[in-house]
Amino acid sequence: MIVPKPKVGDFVIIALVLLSGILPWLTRSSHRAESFSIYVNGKKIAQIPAERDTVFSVNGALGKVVLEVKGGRIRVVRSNCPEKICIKTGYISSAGQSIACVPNRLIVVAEGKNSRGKYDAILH
Amino acid sequence: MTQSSIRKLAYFSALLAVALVIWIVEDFLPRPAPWMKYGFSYIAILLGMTALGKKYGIALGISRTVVGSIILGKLLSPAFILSICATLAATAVMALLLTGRGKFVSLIGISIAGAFTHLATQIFVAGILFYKIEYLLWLIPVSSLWSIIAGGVVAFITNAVEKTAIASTLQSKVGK
Repeated sequence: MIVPKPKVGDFVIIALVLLSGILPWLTRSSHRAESFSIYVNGKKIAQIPAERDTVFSVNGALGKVVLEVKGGRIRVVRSNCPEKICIKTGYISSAGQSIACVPNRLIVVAEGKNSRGKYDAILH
Repeated sequence: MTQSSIRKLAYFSALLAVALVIWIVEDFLPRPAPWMKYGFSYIAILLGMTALGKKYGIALGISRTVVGSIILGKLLSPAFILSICATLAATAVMALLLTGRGKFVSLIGISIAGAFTHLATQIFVAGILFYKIEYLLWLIPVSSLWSIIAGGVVAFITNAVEKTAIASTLQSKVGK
């Protein structure tokens, strides 16, 4: 038999892994982004409003990264990083979403009025 | 050095060689995201853990990451830091769960728990060192699905290898 005999613990582990996979979806806000913040090396270098379409570039660790804002969404158009993950991420439009380009130390974060969620704090 | 510890060292080296080859070849294979590998080198680590002992399994994980990163030229890079933290956490979790093997958990659970720990640790360490953690949380759902698939496959292969002559000689020669 190739398949090991499953035990109760296996199902508990699979359930826990699936559950922790669903949690971020539940807490995720579906608000539309109002602005996009651009961080390089952890420092915020720009904040761009979502409503105006524009194409601009910022200086990442490896050179120029070209970003495009279109119809309330933002994407990376050009980057000279090796794996182009930031470009493959495509457009992001909801508050809380992000595009990361590790080689360029760049992160783009979509922010909304309530990017932290519905509540400021919950007291028990 | 007793004969048994010399034997263990020899088997440890052989398993490390297997883990290294798989780890390095895997680095060139296409995958959903660069931080989401298949984790087949954990087959060798799990075999080492069951046949030689838990300490050896953890040592296999650390050695695989360090030596593999030297060969790939990634030593001390951000990817290496994420990888070594994740490997430490994953091997520790698997060693812990292995004590309950056969009683309340099988290789499937152990392997999936290890895979998810590896991916989740990477996300959290990246969140602490390089980004704000709340921007990376959306990576968790993908990781959870991927770890169930990859972890399951690793469990099946490890279980199949354990049934072969290689693993049984390993177990009988080393003797627990």
